[in-house]
Amino acid sequence: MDWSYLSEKFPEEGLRPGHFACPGCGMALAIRLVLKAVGRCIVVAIPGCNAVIGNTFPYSAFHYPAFHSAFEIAAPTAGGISRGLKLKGMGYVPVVAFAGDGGTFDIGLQALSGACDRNEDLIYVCLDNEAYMNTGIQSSSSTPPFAWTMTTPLGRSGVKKRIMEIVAAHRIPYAATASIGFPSDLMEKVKKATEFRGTRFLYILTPCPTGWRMPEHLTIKAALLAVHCKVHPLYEIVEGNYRLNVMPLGLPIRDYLSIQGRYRHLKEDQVEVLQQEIDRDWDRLLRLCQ
Amino acid sequence: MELKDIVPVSEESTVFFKTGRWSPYKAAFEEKISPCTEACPVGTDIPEVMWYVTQGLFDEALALLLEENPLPGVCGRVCFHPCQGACNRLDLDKGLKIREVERAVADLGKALPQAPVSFRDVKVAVVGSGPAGISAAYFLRKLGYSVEVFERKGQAGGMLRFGIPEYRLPKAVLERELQRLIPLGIRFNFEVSLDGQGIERLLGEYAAVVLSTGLWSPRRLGLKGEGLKGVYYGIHWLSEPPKLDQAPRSVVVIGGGDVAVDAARVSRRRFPHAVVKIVAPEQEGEFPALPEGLSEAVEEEIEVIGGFKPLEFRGDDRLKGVVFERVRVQKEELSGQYLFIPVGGIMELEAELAIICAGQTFDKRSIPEGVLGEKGRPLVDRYGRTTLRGLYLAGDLTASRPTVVEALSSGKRVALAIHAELLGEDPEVLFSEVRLGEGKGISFRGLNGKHKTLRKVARPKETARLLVERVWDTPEPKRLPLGERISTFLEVNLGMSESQAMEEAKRCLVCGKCVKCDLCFLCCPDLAVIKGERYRSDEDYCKGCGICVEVCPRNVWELEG
Amino acid sequence: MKKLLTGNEAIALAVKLCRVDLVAAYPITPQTPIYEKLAQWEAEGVLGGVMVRVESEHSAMATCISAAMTGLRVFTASSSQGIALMHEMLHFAAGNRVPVVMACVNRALAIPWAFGSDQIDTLSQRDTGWIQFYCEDAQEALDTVIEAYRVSESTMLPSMVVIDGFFTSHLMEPVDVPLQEEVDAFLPRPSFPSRFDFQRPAFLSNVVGPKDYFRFRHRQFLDMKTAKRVVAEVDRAFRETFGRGYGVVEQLYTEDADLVLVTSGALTGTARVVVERLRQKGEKVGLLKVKLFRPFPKEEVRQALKGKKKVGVVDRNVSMGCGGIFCEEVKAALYGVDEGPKVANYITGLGGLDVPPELVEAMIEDLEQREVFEEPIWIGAI
Repeated sequence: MDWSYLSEKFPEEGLRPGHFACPGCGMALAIRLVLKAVGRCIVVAIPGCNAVIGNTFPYSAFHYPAFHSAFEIAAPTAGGISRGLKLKGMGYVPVVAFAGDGGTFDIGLQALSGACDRNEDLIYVCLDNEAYMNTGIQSSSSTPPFAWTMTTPLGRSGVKKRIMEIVAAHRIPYAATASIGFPSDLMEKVKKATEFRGTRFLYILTPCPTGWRMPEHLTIKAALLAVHCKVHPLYEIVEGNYRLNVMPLGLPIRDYLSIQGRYRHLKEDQVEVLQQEIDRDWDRLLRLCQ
Repeated sequence: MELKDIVPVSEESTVFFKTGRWSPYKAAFEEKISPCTEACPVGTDIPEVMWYVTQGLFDEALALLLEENPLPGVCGRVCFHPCQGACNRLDLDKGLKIREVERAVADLGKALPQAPVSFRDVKVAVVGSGPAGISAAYFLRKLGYSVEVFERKGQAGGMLRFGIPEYRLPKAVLERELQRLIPLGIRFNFEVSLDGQGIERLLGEYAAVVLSTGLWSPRRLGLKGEGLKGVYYGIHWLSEPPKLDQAPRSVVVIGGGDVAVDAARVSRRRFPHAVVKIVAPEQEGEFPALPEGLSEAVEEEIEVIGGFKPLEFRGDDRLKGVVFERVRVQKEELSGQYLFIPVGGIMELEAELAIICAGQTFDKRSIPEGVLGEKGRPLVDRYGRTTLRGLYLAGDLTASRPTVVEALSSGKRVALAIHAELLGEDPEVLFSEVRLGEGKGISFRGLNGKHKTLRKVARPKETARLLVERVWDTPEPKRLPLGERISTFLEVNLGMSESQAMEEAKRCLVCGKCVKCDLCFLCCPDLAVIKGERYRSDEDYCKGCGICVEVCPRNVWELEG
Repeated sequence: MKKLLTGNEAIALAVKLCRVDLVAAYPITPQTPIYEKLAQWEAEGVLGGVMVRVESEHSAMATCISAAMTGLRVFTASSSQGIALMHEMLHFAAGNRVPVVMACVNRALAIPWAFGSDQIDTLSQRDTGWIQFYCEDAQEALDTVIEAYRVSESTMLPSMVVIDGFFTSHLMEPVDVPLQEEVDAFLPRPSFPSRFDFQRPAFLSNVVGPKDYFRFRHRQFLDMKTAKRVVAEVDRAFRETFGRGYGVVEQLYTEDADLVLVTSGALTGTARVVVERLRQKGEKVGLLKVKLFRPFPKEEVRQALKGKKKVGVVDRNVSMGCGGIFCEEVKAALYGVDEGPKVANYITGLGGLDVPPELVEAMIEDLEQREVFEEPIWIGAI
């Protein structure tokens, strides 16, 4: 229960204080921890909270060189940079592409697929706050069923696609889920990712107090409960093989839903439906992990 | 053509923006009292003890225990562990087995208590060498006073030696604990009996006198047949076990406290073939006795019956049986006394031996005049002072609930009160330094002002408890196999090994003290935690989100503003 | 050395000669032979650069942009729907000031679906900030690619080299191919450094406020203006080195002409033949070929057309609700000129509609007789 070894193992900070993220922002913490674990790198940021955290001209919250690319092209942008570095013989530096759920699940899915297909050499970090938060909380295809957003005021219908499987189906060398509630697991996975070459995909659930209608101090609690209620299990797919990293406590999904205002309107039968779906997905994951 | 002229090139650092100004709320580092320490009547710094144990530093751990408790090896066996009931880990998986670890430290560690080499030119007398008396002597000695103890019996220990059976507190262990105190230079005078006048004489010779003679007179029930042969009282049964010409076939122990349980278990060992029963007026599950003792008794084939009060003892000149009536317990609102209300129903039990364990009281002759109040109880204030100047009462004489650790605490209390009086100071000045939170505990470490900054009790948030990962427990220490238990007086609880104690200590969350685990530092989205000797929040960047407060497993952050 | 090459092949060869480091492309008719040729050379190990076979034109341009930021010389090619798809990225590239060179093989934009040459795909991008060169034939295409790299890398503005789909891209002609050493001498290795500097790390091209946006846009505008001069200089240098040059416009018999036809792209070749023939008959006709479309050569156009009686601008494109785009630009250039000509707009050749010499003659005849100049004249298939 000691995390102090992480500061020794990863002494650098890649994110600077003074950024404009909301108080309690899960994404800012994720960006901080990812960059801390990667070390010297080039950052690709795209429209969304991640670039806003990066800040506006003439300021930067990134300690490393960064480029503000367009919404759907985090992946090919990073691919172009890493190819450029390689062709110019400039010495290896990891290229980290940050994208939100919108930039990954929706508008960026095609370009991500293309980059995975070409096994572009980059570390793609999907920071999932489950809606288009920066533009004011509109639903994306990563918004979970029944969740409130400004464009799904009665709760979203539809299921959440399994982005990890989509990405793994491209046969990339490394994909992993991570959570800010498990900082050592997250940072170790980032470090592990830096040891591969090719397309590496990190999928981090980043709770958003603003969009999830939660008090600011509960960000990490939500991240922890997401894992322990099996909503966001922690596992890796290494060259196609699934491996579970943390056995969840198996808490009822009610615990996770009850701290979020975006689920306040939920009825009993809807909670039941969600519990069943989560349980089904979990069984499926366990079978894949064998 | 310069790049910065044709495209935005943002080189300036965002450290320029003091985003801390967004919010008046700021995280403040604040160490706290652990709930276990608050609950401990002797104020043992349990998290720190655990910290030493995790590193295998049993000697240091023992030295720490001895700062607040002269007899850790005793408490490690018989204490009713209020600390365990307050443990923050109870909500997560299981509370820490603090008492077992304390015992392991006392058994395996080597340390001696610290006391000043020189004596003040002041002498204090302590009457009675039970836990309260020993504690008073110990702490007076640590404060530099010269102490003389007067003990009626031939050996020190009081209830520890004469009231608690061997299988719970072996005499060898008690001896070892007492041996540790010898270098302190406390003078013991054995086989000295003092009555009220004797004590008044002491008051003339000593700067102060502590009266801690305990409760050795059994409460009588006043029932028909109570005088029959075969009817005994618990305190006698344990302290001066009578020889019997014949082993009884049936034993009935009356009462629901620890004395009753011990009386029954001693009987079981003395009479392996007898039917032994405990009958108490309280409902099963609500007996005042420690549950662990009761369950061990049940394992030793002692039947436990609740909800009955004795009516009369039947027999010619020898006891043959005891008649009980069914009752329910009612606590009187105003007096706090317990009443046993008959609800109808009679039970008659065969009994050749009955042991009445209805509590003890003191011998009036040993208390000086004027000390007792109208109701015949000693008048004593919160510092242990009586109406006689210089006379202090400690231990079971003053307690509403007679337990070993509260006796130890009360000894400590009078030592401090005497010290205040001899310094000519208001005792409250010293006492305010040694109290911890809302607890009754007294911690002498506070005399160095150590507790001044500790205002609150640590209660890690649910998030912190989730972070502590696995639900994890270590096994209970082994017990003596049942066969051996019944036929011998060997210690039943075999205790923890060094590695078991270390494993258990690792479960301690170290509530209230920063152990520099860095979790707050890593979880701050705004990089606003500054590490150092004492962690603090960077006001320039702390947006007051409160994540650190929420995640700290020791609960040393608070949100202020 | 002369070789028989299609327009596509000529472009591919120019890319190879320019020692391009990275090509990111996506296939679309009629650009595909460029892509295929480069891929074949990569497989043979003679390309020198790397091919990135992306999953869309949008990603092709995205890859080119970020690769160029590390200091690479990059190339892509597209047509029609592909160019339209990468529209966002075209703005991106120009604003990000990266010297990408793209070959555009003109093709009509759906709907209706059609595959023949039409300039609407590239002209739709005229506001993006790219330099645009319209080439008449395979030789010009090859030469212009080489010039374009030198122009772009010195102005840090991207450029498009445009040819007609099928008419130029797929028809063979003899092309004079320069030697590798000659091209190396004319176009050295790129000298712009990587923007990712660890000594002075910066967040590049992030959000600006209105004042800074205005400032950067003004700077880009001025640099585009400078680009016209740079194009002329580079072309002069090219002429000195290789004996061929094109200027920003080309004038044929315009000095004493009464009627001037203004053309661009492949049908310029047809118009040349017609104008020559008519001149021999004694008709005072002239031809103005507009090669550089962005930045628009206003001065040169005014110079060539002022004092002429009538001008017919031939557009193989149309901007709905307006008219032919070259015509609009020409008219704007002529605004305020004393003795400005009357300008007729001939819209023809859309979607690959053939424009044979007879049709050009018909346009000139029409121009001669025309009194009314308000509406564009749709000619060729109506």
